[in-house]
Amino acid sequence: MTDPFLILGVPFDADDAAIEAAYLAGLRRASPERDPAGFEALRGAYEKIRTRRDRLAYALFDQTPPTTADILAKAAPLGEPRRPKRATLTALARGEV
Amino acid sequence: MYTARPATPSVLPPIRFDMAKKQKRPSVKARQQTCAVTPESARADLDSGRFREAMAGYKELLKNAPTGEDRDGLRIGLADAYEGRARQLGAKGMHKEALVMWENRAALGALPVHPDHAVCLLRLGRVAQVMPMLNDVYLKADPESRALLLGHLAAQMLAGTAGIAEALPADDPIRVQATVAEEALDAYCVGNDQALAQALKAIPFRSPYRDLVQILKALSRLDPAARDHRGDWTEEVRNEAAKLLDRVEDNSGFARLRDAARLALLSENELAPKLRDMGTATRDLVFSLRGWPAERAILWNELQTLGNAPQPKELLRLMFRHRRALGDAWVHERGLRLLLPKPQTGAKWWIEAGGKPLRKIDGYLLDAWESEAESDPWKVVTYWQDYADLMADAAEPRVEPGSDAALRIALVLRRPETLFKILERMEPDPDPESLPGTIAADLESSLEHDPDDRSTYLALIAYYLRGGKALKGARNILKRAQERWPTDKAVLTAAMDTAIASGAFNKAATIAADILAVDPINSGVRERLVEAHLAHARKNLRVKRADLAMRALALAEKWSRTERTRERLELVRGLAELLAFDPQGEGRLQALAESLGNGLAARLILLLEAGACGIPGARLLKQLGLAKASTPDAADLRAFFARVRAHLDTGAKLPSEVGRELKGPLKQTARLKLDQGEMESICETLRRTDMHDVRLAFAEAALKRWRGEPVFELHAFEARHRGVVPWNIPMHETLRLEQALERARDNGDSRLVHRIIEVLSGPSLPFGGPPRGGFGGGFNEDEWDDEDDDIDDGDMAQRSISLLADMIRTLGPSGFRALLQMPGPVGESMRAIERDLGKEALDLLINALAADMNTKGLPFPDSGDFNPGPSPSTRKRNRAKRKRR
Repeated sequence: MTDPFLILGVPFDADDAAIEAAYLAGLRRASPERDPAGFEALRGAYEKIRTRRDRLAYALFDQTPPTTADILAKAAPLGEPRRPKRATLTALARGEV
Repeated sequence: MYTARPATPSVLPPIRFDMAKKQKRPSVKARQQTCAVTPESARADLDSGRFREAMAGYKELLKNAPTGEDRDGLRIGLADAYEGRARQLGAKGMHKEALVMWENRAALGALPVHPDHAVCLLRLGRVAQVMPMLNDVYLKADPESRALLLGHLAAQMLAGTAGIAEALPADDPIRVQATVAEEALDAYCVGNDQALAQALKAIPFRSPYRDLVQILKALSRLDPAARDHRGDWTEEVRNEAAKLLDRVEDNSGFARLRDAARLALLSENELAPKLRDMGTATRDLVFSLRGWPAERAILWNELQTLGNAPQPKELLRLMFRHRRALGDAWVHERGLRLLLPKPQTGAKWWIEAGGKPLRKIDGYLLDAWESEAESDPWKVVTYWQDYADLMADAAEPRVEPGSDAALRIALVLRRPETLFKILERMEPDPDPESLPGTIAADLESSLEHDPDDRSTYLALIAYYLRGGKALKGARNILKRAQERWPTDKAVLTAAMDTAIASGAFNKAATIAADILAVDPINSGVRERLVEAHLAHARKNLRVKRADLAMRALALAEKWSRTERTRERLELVRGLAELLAFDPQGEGRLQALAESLGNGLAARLILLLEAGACGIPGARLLKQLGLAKASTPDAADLRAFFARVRAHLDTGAKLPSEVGRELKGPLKQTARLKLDQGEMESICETLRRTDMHDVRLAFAEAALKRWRGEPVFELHAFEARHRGVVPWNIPMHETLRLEQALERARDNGDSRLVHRIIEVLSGPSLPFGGPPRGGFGGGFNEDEWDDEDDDIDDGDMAQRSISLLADMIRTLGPSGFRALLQMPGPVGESMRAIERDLGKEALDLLINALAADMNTKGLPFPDSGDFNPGPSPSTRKRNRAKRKRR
């Protein structure tokens, strides 16, 4: 995923406070010690859109094309995990793939 | 684990060849091989996984083998080959075909039941055939294999395979524990973790359902709260779950469920490439556990049809199709990025893909993005200026400062400087049409739209202060910055720098005091202020005002905190006293020189300081008795070069007097046995000075010790031929450097390789010197003059064009354009030629040659390096000629 708004999970009109809150919430789940790669992605996204000027500059100058992951995340973001259906587990126990 | 037991001799039962119809006829080669088959070759086939060949070989051997122990060995080999082939087929999901192999194996007689044979039957739903196997004496004697088979039966029981319960006794653990296993599954699926825990507790440790227990425990760890911002499980949870899943063996009856659970642990990035190979059940489990909504799965399927690396056009088409879910603005903004790197072509298929016609401003934005792909700052400046103008026009009647529109314009105007850092590197150019002049004007203009951007004020002040010739510009910007941030440290520091540059040292001291009041440990401010007072003192000494110099030194003393500044103050004070005929001065300077060893380092600082104060260095050394010092040692040499480097790092040049006074003893020190790194460092330092003969002495001394060492060959070459045009350098010297290049390549020293190539490629300006009279830099002046007499103007122009062409080929288009932009005599002579030939003709020539040449490896490579680009006039023409899409 390349879109910093999608990485931070904030709307495209989010303000400084909302972005900082999302970053801090992300940090709790991806600290530099436990998840260095996740932290890098989070930090990179935050620095791209931290201030109003940053967000305007991102919209004007960033030339990164969208990826399939961006499209998926934007059109149908991940929801809450669900427990699978019993039928799914039964099928897997039967040896289906 | 299961192992084959030795078989008792028996007559071979007939073997079914159900597969024969499907098998290909063995090739001629295979038949020939069969003729020559031996027990060893059959075993080799078996061991290397060529089960079909092994089967054929053993069958052939058994046909011809006499009865006895030999046949037993061959039978076991054949059984192993059937088993191997059955596994191969089973792994491909060809269970019916695998069963034929298992049955052939069983038909060999007197072999124990293989649990995988039973598993294969279960997969095909033939439960009735499995049940008698449970009573096989050999399987009963092998608890591990039996447990494996029971695990498979348990999994099938949960899967609802008919006939298992009926075939088992009422007290069989598979039947007894099925209920609680079912309860565990149900509890997990509805999210009742308490019931799940109870049910799992009720399943005994040695239960046939024990693998299910591990899997359900792992899955229950995947709590929604244990996900990071990307929707991936945290490392901790992944590790815990993975550990539990690792307890389930690959041949377990629950292995499919375990494999699916493992995939659900992967991150979104890791998962994407694996999703394609998943079956429906696995995908359902993964999508549920990862929180994929149904529409995401549908969209993912659609994206898969575009392949691994979707074409931008196809991706755009898909985005337009899903614009409702993605949002019109997002599709438009991100879609534009898909038109790069060739927006002209991309814009054509934008509409084909389903987009509305692009707006004028989109075209301008695409042009500006495209311009950034090249290293031509003029182009970038032009296209972003156009974009800013268009935005300003669109926002008429007025763009309110600080509004989003105003900030956008300001950011766009600052973009070229953000990319190229030209004002950070160049001195102010009085020509407003020059590149730095244009960029500075754009930055100033950006402040009207966004007056709160402190860094732009500071960048402009630093630029105007560089070189000390645009102080008025610095003061104007500073005034505006101070109105906004009167107590800001960075602005105060800029104010101090401006005061120092203007010679207002008292004002600078007042500002420094203000800064230190809020930031007492700001050593940089102290240093700068001491430097300023020192500069003031030197200036006074140059005009023989020792009294004023002493006053400035007294002020400097107040701020001095470091040993380095104290030493310099002491030096200038000594010089001031000498100038004032104060006898203390000589003693002060002698003591200072003595503390530094009276060697090269001591004489260097005396010469540097004397030069700065307008005092003849040679006379000073003589007066202090330092004109002839003892031969320097290694420590003194190191101290000398450390000080030379520190001096050069300030951006100052080494005065020629240093070379005149010290080159003799320096050359002697070239014989000192320093290590290779130190010698290299000394040569590099000397490269930054005009002491070429000293550099040559060190390089040659190094080459005596490290024969042919490429880096010293380069130093020797450059020092020896400094100021000589390449075509006047003897061929054997060039060949020698080329050999050094090869050695550097062999050593993998790419930086040195690049440097040598630069030298061999042609005349870099400091090396070849400025061209004379247009292009005569490398020619003997008299010969050139003689030729002038003999040729008419037409020939001259022809010759100029030919020489120009040579230069463009050698320097590359960017390098050549860099020459046109250079200040001083070089740039002037080039501009004169440009005027003579005409700009149009010169552009045509450059473009024609550029089209035919590979510019890589040239002294001014086109990619990545700074390239001032075409002249402003060319830029204007380009701008006028631009065709908008």
